[in-house]
Amino acid sequence: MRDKTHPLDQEEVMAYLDGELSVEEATRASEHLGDCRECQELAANLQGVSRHIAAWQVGEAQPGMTPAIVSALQEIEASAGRSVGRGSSSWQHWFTLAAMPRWAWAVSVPVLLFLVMAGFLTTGRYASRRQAMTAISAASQTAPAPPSRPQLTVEMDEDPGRDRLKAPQAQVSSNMEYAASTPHIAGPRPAEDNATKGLSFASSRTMIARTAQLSVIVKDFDTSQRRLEDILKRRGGYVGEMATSAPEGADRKLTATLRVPSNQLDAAIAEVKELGRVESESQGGEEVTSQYVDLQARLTNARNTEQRLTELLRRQTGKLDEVVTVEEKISDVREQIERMEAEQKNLSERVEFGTLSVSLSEERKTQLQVMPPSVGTQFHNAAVEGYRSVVDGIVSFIVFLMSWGPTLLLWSAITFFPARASWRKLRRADA
Amino acid sequence: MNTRWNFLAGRDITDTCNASCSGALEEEAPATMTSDEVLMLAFQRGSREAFDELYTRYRNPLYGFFRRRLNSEARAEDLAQETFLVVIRDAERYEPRALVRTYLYAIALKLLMSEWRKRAKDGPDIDSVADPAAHGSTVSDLWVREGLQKLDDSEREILMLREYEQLSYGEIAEVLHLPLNTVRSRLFRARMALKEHLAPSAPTQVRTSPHESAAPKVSNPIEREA
Repeated sequence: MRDKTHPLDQEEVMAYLDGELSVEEATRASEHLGDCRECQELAANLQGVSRHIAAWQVGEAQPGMTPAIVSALQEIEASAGRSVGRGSSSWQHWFTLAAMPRWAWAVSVPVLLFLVMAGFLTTGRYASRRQAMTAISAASQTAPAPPSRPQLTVEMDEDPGRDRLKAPQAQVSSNMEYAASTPHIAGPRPAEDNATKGLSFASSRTMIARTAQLSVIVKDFDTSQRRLEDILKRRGGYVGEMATSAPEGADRKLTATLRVPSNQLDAAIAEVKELGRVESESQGGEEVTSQYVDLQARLTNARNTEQRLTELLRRQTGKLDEVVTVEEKISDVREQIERMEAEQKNLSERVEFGTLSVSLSEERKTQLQVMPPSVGTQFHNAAVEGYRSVVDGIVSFIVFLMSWGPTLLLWSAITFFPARASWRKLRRADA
Repeated sequence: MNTRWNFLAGRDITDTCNASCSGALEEEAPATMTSDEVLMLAFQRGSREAFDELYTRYRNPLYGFFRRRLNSEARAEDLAQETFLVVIRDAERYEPRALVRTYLYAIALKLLMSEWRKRAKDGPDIDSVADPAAHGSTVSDLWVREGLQKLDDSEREILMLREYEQLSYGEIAEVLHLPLNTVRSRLFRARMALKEHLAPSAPTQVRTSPHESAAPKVSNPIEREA
């Protein structure tokens, strides 16, 4: 201790700069360093030494492995292959497992079952979420669900005092915050550049997702269907969904959801209208610029976070549970990125391709049925009906017996003796 | 750097690793985010990809370790490769109690000691006298090397492990088999001494001859401690 007024000694100042103090100690050191000029000077000196030392840079190693390493690896692989051939290691492993004490089995089996169940549940939830996403993407008509914010908050503003005095923390949670809050450990990835370009692109023009609905009554259904396909092909669109129905005695109907490039949508609508008489028509447009920009910003942040976490994990290793925690965080962030990318793709697609819902109905033409069924057919039908009614009767009787039989038997057994006694009494009275 | 991982709190990762490493290893696909320990265990099980990833991560750091402690660039390359050879040959001996980083630098340090002993016995190699890297060195490089050379051997090694290899105090203590407090106090002394060496005169006054500005010779701090 240099002085009674200093709550920390010089080595502690150094340990603080190296991030080797506990959170409490670091907080104490940080507070003191904020006020004490002498300690600030010491910290500056120590940092200066580190900067000087960092000036000595050596180049990079020659790329590639030496033949010695390659052959050693090959030897290992070969020996691993032999041991697999003999099956010794795997069998030893199983013997070790079998030799586990009973209590270990008793604990591990329920835990394993629980993990499997948890895995199924998680997978189910994940699958249902993915399914929901796919449904949203495929339908391309409804607005995407409000995206959830990334759990890791990314703060881009840096503490001005941080540069001067590196404030270290020793806890994993702090590491997480650090990873999330410090911008650019490494340079941005190409994907990020694209994302940034996308952002400027999006902010420079208005993005509108157009929809249109047309209901047309056509005279010649088959020709109209072909012409509709032609229109779609000519305009560079594709079928999102199509269904035709042709019930007997009723008019045929075609409903289709077509995806047409936005700049071709008006032309396509005009051509579809020419197919017949327009029964109903509606058009709409949803502005999604802000939605897109917001999504883009969050995606960029999430990518930065992922990169920082990955970099953090690559550069520094700690206890396994800490590493696992970071890996879990990375996995979470990746899931968010995937979700946002899917949303973004969906949004872009909705803007690039307008949605045209077409309903083609055939004009009703009632047809007279002039040919009555033949005599042979009538006999055949009668015979089939007769056979069916006999079989149905037998089956119904058996079903009745099976369903009511036990009840009838029970009541018969209960009432048999009192009824017989009453009957005999009556007969004796008559006699 | 704002924060660091806490290496000091509990170094035994065997228990947790036994439970959760195996799951990660089943995937057999070492991604960049996979920790060194998981990769090492995967390599123990025969994953070539895991070794490739470890090699990619540590090739340059290990080369830098030897390059700063030896005059010969070629020898630094050889020893870095030799470190990996030791890892390959002794892969089965690795236990996830220690971090792979510590394990690698411990091997590297042993190889370095062996190299120095050999040189002390046989005399320096021809290529170690003429240091080609020194020709490309800047004045500030040489100034730092000069300063480092003036330090006490053990303090210098601790300082270099901290500054260049970015090892934590705990890792340095483990690699050099020293108490943690000793590492801290020697590191402080080393930094202060280096500051004194660097401070009094301008970098232009430093000698720039490659022959005189050889990499700092570090004697065995382990032996010194013993």
